[in-house]
Order: sequence, then structure tokens, then C-alpha cells
Amino acid sequence: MAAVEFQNVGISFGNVPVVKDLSLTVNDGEFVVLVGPSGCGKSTILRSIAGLAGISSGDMRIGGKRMNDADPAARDIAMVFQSYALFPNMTVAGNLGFGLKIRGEGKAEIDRKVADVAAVVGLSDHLHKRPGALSGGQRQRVALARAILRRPGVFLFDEPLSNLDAEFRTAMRAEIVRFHRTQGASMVYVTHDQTEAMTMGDRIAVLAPLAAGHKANLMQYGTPDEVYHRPANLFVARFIGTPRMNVVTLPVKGGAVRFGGQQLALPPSAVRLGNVILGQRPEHLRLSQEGAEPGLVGTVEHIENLGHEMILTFSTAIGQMVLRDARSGSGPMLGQTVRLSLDPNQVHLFDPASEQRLD
Amino acid sequence: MTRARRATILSYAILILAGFLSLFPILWIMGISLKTQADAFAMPPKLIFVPIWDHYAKVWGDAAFIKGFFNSVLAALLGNLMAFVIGIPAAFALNQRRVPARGAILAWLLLSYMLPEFLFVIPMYGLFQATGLYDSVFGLALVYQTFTLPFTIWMMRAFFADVPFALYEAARLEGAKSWQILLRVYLPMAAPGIAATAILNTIRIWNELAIALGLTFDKAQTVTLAVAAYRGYASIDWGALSAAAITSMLPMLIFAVLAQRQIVGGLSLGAVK
Ligand SMILES: Nc1ncnc2c1ncn2[C@@H]1O[C@H](COP(=O)(O)OP(=O)(O)OP(=O)(O)O)[C@@H](O)[C@H]1O
Ligand SMILES: [Mg+2]
Repeated sequence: MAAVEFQNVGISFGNVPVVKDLSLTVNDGEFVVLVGPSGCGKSTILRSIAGLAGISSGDMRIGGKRMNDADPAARDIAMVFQSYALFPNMTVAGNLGFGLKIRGEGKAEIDRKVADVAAVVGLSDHLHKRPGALSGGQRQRVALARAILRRPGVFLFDEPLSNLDAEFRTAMRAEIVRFHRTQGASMVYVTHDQTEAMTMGDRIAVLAPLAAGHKANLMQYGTPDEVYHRPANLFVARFIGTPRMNVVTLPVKGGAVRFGGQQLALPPSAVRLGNVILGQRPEHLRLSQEGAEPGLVGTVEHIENLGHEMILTFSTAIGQMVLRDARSGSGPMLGQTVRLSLDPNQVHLFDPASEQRLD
Repeated sequence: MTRARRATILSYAILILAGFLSLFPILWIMGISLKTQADAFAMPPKLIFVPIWDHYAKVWGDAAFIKGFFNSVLAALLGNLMAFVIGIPAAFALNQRRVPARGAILAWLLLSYMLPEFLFVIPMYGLFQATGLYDSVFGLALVYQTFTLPFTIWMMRAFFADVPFALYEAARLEGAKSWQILLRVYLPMAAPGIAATAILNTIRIWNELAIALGLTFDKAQTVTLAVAAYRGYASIDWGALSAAAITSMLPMLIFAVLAQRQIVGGLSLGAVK
């Protein structure tokens, strides 16, 4: 059991900064997901916990002890690599027992521990095989078992499911969450898949690449609900959620903005601005009843029928709008013109200059 | 006839021709080694003859030749041993994440492998005379490092580069030290590479003539010199020369047949995964 704390951590490769001013705490026993687009430094942050990437500034603590420069083997962590990193020249048993052997444990002791952990992850029948003879899911289990054997305070996962097919990924996702509950250890899990992030994490850290001009990587750190329902800034609003949140910039007039014919009063924080960025998730956008509500005129440009719901794309005077319609039955047809209206209780407002949330 | 068939027949024709061209000199020498002197130089060449084994008997009974043969075996063993003992750790170090000027070092290694052997003979001659390494198999193996060592480092580095770096990291996390990672992960994974490198080193050492000529006199004469020794001042013992040449080829031939897969695998490096 161990907490992981980052305090103003910076990581650079040569003189290229990749992580800046990262402050983030993973509580003891917590499951934290690091999510963000490719190149935002997720792997780098994870690897800095493991000691595989050097920290250039700030402090990183594991279990309260400063670990910036500690030997990777002495950090009370275990890591599951994206590629699994199994030793192809050793059997499953050899892979599992590798660390124990290195640490000088006796053969009988190693055999017993390996057999125990193999039973836990359901690999007992495969101990004599080499990784090359295993399926992707079985390799994944070997990697997991190897981590379990270390009995670490912190488990680190770098996109462990990205090499699996969709169906198996869902199953493995549940398995890892269950595994977290039984182990009680802290877990830091890297993914760029937001479904994984939303479904697995106690808390999610949304990260942005410095290369895109951000001053620090951490965009928001919160529960899945917080991140989804109260995105702290435009980056998070756009990154979390599929289809993406609708975002338009609207001029502020008389303390309100107009969405087509729909008038929307702004909170005090937004009134003084010239423009405001308004966001609404596709599931909150509504099709107006004929003539009933004023709204924005839009033409159906594209229809995606997923069976249980429809994703409708409209072209409007202020840009494209996407609407997710869970109602079955007769929606508008391709090319048809309709009125769209906002759910005023589900509007997200952002300052166009700082891109921060306005409440 | 379809295009594909024509292409197949053509490629077989080319292969047969190439095979014949490369085998012809060997077959010719083999012919000489099994013929009497009169038969060997008969015109037109005698394609059908009664083989005699006299030349082989002479060569295999010749103490100088036997000594040369085993000197070469020893030089090959020692030369490989030295090259791997130094070359493997060097290659491992060169394969680390950040190595300054790695490209330049690798290019330099390959370049020094290609330098003409005789370049080393002249400066070494004096040094070897002075240190007592002259005319010793150990000294020869040492000079052979001028080409086996760079080649070994270069090859082993290429094989190590094929080992995913995540394996190194995974082993580090398990507490393994660098030398343990080298021994338990990299070497087993690069085993075919070691075999290929050893074979290519051995072939080069076995066929080496210039250095052996310059730095040995009698005790440490190698098989190539022993073969050449049948070329006397006044006359050439063609039969024995041929028999010795064929004999000296045999170990390499057996080697090549047994290790063909490793050689091809080694030459195409990471291409075959
Ligand atoms: N060893 C390294 N040397 C130099 N630059 C590196 C190194 N490792 C990573 N980087 C750079 O750091 C940045 C962040 O890389 P990182 O692998 O952490 O991204 P990521 O968020 O994990 O992306 P992905 O989702 O593609 O895995 C990238 O721009 C990458 O090019
Ligand atoms: Mg990554």
C-alpha cells in the first residue's frame, strides 16, 4: 500500500520539456487513470514513477518517501507494459519466477509462489509454455501475474489492453477493476481510451501535450463524473465524451447569448465578456417541437444509426452541431430542416481567452 | 507456357549456371587431387579416371600440414573467444538508450573491419618480435582481433538492437543488474546471432593468409600456409597441393552445411521476425 505524490514535477528529454509543473496525488489504494491524446506525456509520467524516466525538477514520493532517484527495483512498484515485455526465451513459469530468482529465493519457494499466482490468474495449465505460444489475453495475464508476484504498493499499467480485441478488452477491463478491489493496492493506469478512463478510474487525470502551447500538462483531476459533467476547461470538455461536445463561440449581448432564436441568460461571471464559448453535449441538444420553441435552424447532414440511438449531424449558421437521440422511431430524414434547442441546465460556458470554465 | 513458369525456368537456369561457375574450380581441384600427375595434365582433360588416394595419404601423413591444420583450429577458437569476451559487453554497452556518437562508432567499426590485413602486419612485426608473440598462435589470434572484434561488436549490437528495450526495463524493475540482464535475457535471445557471428569469424580466420604469412615462421603456421607450402622452389606438387586445399576446405564446408540457417538468419538480421 502506498500513495504516490507529484510535487511540481518537471521531466525533460535533453532540453525538450515533456512534463511541466505536475502536482498530483494518488491516494493509498486509489485507482487513478492518466488519460490524454498521444504525446501528452502519460507514459513518461508513469515511467517516472517506475524510475524508467528521470525527473528533472520537483519531487516524487511513493509511500511518503522521496523516490526521484531511487533504484527502480526499490520503489515498491510493479509495471505492466503495453507490449507485456515477457521474456520470449523463458517459459511462463520462468517469466513469473524471474524476479524471485534474481532476488535469490530458493527453487522450492519460487515454484510455490509461481504456482500460487498462476492459479490466481488462471494460467496453471500454461506454465510450461513460452509466451510465443500464448494468446494476447494469456500474455496479458502473465504480465499481470508477474506484477502481482512483486506484491507492490503501486501497480503501474501502460495501455495494457490496447493490443487486445474489443470484446476481450471489455472483459479484461472488468477483471482489472475487480483485481484492484481485491488487491487494495494503488494503481496508476495509462490509456488514451476515454471509455477505459471513465469506467475504471476512481479519479481521472486529463493531460494535454505541452507542444500544443499549454503551460502545464494537468488539465483536470477529478472523478469521472466531475470530469464529464463539469469539465474545468475547453480542452477537457472536448477531449472527454464521444461524440465530442458541441462548441460554439457566441457574442454576448445584454447579459445573454442567442442560440438561433433561443435566448440564454448568462451567469454574472460571463456577462462582462464580449464573446463566450458555449458547449453542450450531443445528448443534451434537443429537436424542437414544431413551432413550439424558438431555436437554431439546422439541416440534417449525416445520420449514424447505432440501433439503440441515432447520432445526427446538422449544418447550421454557426457551424456543425451533433445530436445524440436515444429515442427510437421516426427521427428527421437526411436533408430535412429542423430546429435545435439547448437544454439550458446542461450548458457549459468557457472564457474564450483563458478557455477556463465559467460558472 | 505461362509467364510464371517461364520465370521459374529462367531462374533455375541462372541458378544452375551460377552454381556450376562457383563449383567448377573446386571440382577441378578435387579432380587433380584424385588423379596421377600424368592424368591431371592430360589434354584433353580426362573426365573419366580411376581415383587414387596417394595425395591425400601424403597430406594427411604430413606433420607440417597437420600442425597447420590444428594451429588454424586453435587460432579460430582463440580468436572467437577473445572477440566474444570483449565484443559482447561492448555491443551491450553500445546498445544502451543514449550512446553519444553511436552512429559514428558503428561506422568506424565496420570500416576497420574492411581495412586490408596487411596494414597491420608491418607495425606488428616489430612489436611481436620484441614481445615474443611472433610465431605464436596466441599472437595471431590477437592480431585477428583487428577484424574479428569490430565485426563481432557490430553484429552483436545489431542483434541486441532487435531485443525490445521494454525487456531490459522489465528486468530492471525486477531488480536485475545489467550483467544479469545481458546474461539471462539478451544472450539467449541473440543466440542465433552469436552462432552466425562465430561462423563468419571462423571462416575469415580460417582463410586468412597475409597476417599468418607475416607474423609466423614455423611453430604457428596456419592451414593456408601449410597448403601453400606444397608449392616448392623448383616444382609444384600439384596433387598434394590440391589434396591439402580440399582438406582445408572440409571443416568450413561441414560448418556451413550444419549452420546454414544461422548464417542466413544472421545475415538478414532483424528482417526475419
Ligand atoms: N526517451 C525519449 N527521448 C526523447 N523524447 C521522448 C522520449 N520518450 C518520450 N519522448 C517524447 O515525450 C513526449 C511524450 O511521450 P509519451 O510517450 O509520454 O506520450 P504518451 O502520452 O504516452 O503518448 P502515447 O499515447 O502515444 O503513448 C512525446 O513527444 C515523445 O516524443
Ligand atoms: Mg504512451
